[in-house]
Amino acid sequence: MKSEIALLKREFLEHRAMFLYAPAILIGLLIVIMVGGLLFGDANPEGDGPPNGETVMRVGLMINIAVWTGLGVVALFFYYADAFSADRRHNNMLFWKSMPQSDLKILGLKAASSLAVFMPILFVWAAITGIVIYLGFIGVGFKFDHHFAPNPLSALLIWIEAGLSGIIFMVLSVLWYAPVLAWVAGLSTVFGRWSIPLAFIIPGFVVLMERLYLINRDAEPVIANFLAHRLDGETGTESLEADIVSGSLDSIWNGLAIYVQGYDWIGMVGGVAFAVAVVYLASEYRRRLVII
Amino acid sequence: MNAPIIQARGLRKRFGKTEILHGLDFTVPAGRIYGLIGHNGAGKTTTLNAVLGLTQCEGEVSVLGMDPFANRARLMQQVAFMSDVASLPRYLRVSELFDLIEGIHPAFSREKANAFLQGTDVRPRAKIRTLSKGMVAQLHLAVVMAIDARLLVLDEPTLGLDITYRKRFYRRLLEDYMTEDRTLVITTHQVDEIEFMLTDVIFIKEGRIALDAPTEEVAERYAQLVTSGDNASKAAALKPIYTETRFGQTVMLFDGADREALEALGEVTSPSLSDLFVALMDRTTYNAEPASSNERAAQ
Repeated sequence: MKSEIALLKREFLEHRAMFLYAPAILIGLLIVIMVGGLLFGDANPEGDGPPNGETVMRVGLMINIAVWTGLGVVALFFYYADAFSADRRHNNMLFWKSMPQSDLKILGLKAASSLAVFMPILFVWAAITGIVIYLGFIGVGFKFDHHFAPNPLSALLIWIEAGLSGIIFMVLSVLWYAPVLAWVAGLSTVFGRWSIPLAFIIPGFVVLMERLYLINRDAEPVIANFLAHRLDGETGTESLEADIVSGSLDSIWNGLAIYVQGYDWIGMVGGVAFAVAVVYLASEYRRRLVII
Repeated sequence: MNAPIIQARGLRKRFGKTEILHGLDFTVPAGRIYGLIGHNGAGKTTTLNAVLGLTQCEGEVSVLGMDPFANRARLMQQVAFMSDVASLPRYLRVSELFDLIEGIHPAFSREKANAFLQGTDVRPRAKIRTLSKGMVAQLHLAVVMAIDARLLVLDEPTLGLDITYRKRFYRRLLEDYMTEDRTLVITTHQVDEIEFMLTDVIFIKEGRIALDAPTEEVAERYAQLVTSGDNASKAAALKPIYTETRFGQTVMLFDGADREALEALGEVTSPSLSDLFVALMDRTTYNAEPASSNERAAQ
């Protein structure tokens, strides 16, 4: 385990700017905007009285988790667009090849770092953002005399509830997008930084060919539909989104249950299997053909 | 008898249609210091890459009893390697580098690495990307010497470094690292600087071995004659392998010649490795020079 931890740690050290410093700056900006709004804003919320504080808190934290997960997946896309070829920079590959670690292990741990290192860091940032959001609710309450924020104990329970369900949501999201991340990582092994345009151009070309083939044919575009399903985000979440928008969701766990029930588990397993195959092939490419 | 550290038989390597190594055979026993010497493009680095399991070749290679290409990760537990270019991860600090290697290399000693850095300007909190080329070389040398390896492979380790660093580099290597249990293979163009420490030498010329012998045998087998006048003509009849003129005198190199016969014609010494290198590795280049008046005088 010692070598695995050391290799995961070096991924963190190499990419701390993207996953540690950049989110800290984002949260700093959020706090500045929030404080500025409270100090200088004058838009008094109108309505039929103060909203249900617990519902607002719950929805706010769910959106918070969803936003951080979305940012995380995008950040991981750019991470994997470089990570599998990053060891070639500045002749580093010769150093790594001189170490008693196999190429499969090194790339396998880069693949695992999304769930083992980066998403946990982003989860901590999401949790901190949740506290900032709660403090914002309290601030709004004081400014406009709409004390709708839940009491600290209720807020803590909602925060924990959101956190636990957020972990599951983040893990499932990364696993769902694993084949997309593996696709760009595999391309980067061979093509380096060209992996980003190629990750879109190659499937785009295949979809275009399929569309051309299907002109004047009465058939559904199988490849295009499959890719759209993968990129769409997976599951039958329409009813969940409706509940969130209407404010009728009474528990984050209920929301998570709706999410998990609608999940395409077979698609997820197939995607992870594809990702594992790509990592293996990339490691063989690196072992056989990449020296510097 | 102990098993050899490296054994290569019929080692061949092609890049496309071009064959770079043409069937090398060599054996490196334990406890020796081998110099692998050749021109740019002669095949030295490709040979080392084959030995280190970095590239797949035809023929048989065995290092510490293992097929290096199939077992690179396992082999590197007993092999330390330093390439001709700075290859340490630049985004790390020196202390972070030691943390990392301590985690992934079971034979690495942090205490030894720190001890090897004594007397240098390399600070533990320094980022590697801020270090000078010489300091990076010192750091890398500290790393490889802190690995308790049976085989150390150095590929042009002092390329681009100034003379002070180079002298210190080889001194520390000999004084602090080499033992009779360890084997060193080193490639360099600066033959003069490593000649004193080599026990064996392999000259590679255009993918073939031109010489593979212990340095003691080289000193006995080859003779250098400095002569002039009629004696030069008589010496030329003894078939020198190389002839040149220096400051009006004729310098000839002989392979296996009778020393007593040569001593009658002038001053006889054992040639330095760099003289021998020039003699044995002389080759036709793509852009050939016009014939010089003082070279190939005997031809």
